Amino acid sequence: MSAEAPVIETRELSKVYPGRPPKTALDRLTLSVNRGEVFGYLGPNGAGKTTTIKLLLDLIRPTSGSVSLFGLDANRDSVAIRRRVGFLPGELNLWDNQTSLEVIRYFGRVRGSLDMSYVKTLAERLDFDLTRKIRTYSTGNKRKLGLILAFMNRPELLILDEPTTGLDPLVQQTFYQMVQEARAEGRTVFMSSHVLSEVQAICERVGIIRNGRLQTVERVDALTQVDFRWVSLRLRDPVPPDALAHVPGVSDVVVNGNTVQLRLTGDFDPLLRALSNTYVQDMRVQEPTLEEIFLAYYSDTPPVNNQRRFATSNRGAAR
Amino acid sequence: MRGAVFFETLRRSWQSMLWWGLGLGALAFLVIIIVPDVQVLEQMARMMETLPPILIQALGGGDIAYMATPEGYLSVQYFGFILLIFAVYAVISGLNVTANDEERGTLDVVLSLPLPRERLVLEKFLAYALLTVGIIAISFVCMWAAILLTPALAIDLNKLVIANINILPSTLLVLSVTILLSSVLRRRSHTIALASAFVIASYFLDTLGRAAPDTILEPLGYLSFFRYYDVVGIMQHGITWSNVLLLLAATAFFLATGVWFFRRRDVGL
Repeated sequence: MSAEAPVIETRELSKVYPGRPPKTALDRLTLSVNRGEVFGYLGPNGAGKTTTIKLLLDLIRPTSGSVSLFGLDANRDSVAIRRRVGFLPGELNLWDNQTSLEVIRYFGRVRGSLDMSYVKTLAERLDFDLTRKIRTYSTGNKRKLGLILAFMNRPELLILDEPTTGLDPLVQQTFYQMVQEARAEGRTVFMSSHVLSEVQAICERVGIIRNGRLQTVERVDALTQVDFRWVSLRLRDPVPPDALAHVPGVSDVVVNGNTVQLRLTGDFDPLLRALSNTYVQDMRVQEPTLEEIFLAYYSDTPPVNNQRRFATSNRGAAR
Repeated sequence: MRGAVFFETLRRSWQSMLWWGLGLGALAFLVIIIVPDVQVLEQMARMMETLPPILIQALGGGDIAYMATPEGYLSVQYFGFILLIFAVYAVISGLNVTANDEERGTLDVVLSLPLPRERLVLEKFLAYALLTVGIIAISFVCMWAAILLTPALAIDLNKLVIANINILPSTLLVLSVTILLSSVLRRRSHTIALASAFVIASYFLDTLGRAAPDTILEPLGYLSFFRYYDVVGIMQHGITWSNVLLLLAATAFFLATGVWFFRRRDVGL
């Protein structure tokens, strides 16, 4: 495989579950993830994230299309692929009457190698007790065990399904560091999430999926530079509620006395012209958060309600 | 690594094997130790003569004179029904091959490891086959200890060994059928229902077929694996290799078909 070849590559990948009616879980997904990249796969529950991951791991078979990892066919070469992959499922279910150490040793034997000193290092970093039985663990501790199982063989590719669900903020930070270290070592991370802040924190590119269809793939920084922003105005005199509603590019106008909040798409000029006869005491502009962009992909209606937007704008103003 | 699943299955299940072996061994021990002398066996055989033919067949009997011998007594009172208990063990073990892990959601994680699906199934099958041998061996030791303590039941050791080994092919068959059903049906509850139905239907097909020799039930009895278990025949005439080979061939067929399905289908419910 050449250095430029993607680690993950899907072409027109579809999965339809039989039933009445059949359910299209994934619809013609074409996606590639490059070596050394931390790729975020965003979508709400039922969007097709887990289906994609199961297809990558050959746990389920595509209805049509192809999927390859490291240039190898996901079905034909699945064992060779899985030797190079660490996987964290969305919900980790293991054998309740086994201890973590027993599970780790079992997985190590199946993989053919186990570096116990590295396992202990991971356990210490995650503040995790390896000696207890699985049934005694909280959701967060099960998640930690899942992370140890995924990371313990230093795989070339980490496939993580909702990795931070149930983790407390301190452990989340440790997880972010682990991902950054993996990336620094040239390893690739493919992680699904609906937690946008973590994608913003650690991912370079993000794919957004909705109803089984990939909506977009963008760099995280490019995605935040979409052509709309929130504008907050403080005027000297109160304005009528519909004063700015008909200005081109302006929407979601909320008037509260002499304060106006609005969403502006496109240039500022129409808004400034509309305000030319108004005394503006203060004007603040805030870029949309990734969450707002994310929601915008899922809805034809405005991405956030007015109350939410006020809070967002005020936070932006405070910053 | 080859053998990892096999040894892990043994590690997790050896205690269970011990309890099953000791439980069945205790049963065999009691069945033997309660016989004070051969006259009791003759009384029991005479009592059986009064039973309807179907009940005699259900108890594994047929030849009343033979029932009065120690071998006949053990055939009826232990080996005649013990296969049903081993069948229960085989269904429980078969569920542990894929169905339980799939229902629990563990199979996703296991199959994300570099482990071919067929190896997972075959290594678990071999492990449970060995565990079944372990249960048979433990129960045999208990049985032999009871026979040593009961002079009235003088039984040839070779016959006893063969009768115990004879449990294995039928148990493996039920194990392989459960694996096949798990592969096709996925759901644990469906697998339990159909595997149980298979065992019970087989038992009655054999029993009714023997009890009604001039009816359609007679040839249907040959569809039952109990027909090829034939412990009375084994105690009297030694092992019937054609029966053993037939059971093992059916086991191989069901196992191969189960693996074939499991390799091709989606994993997860």
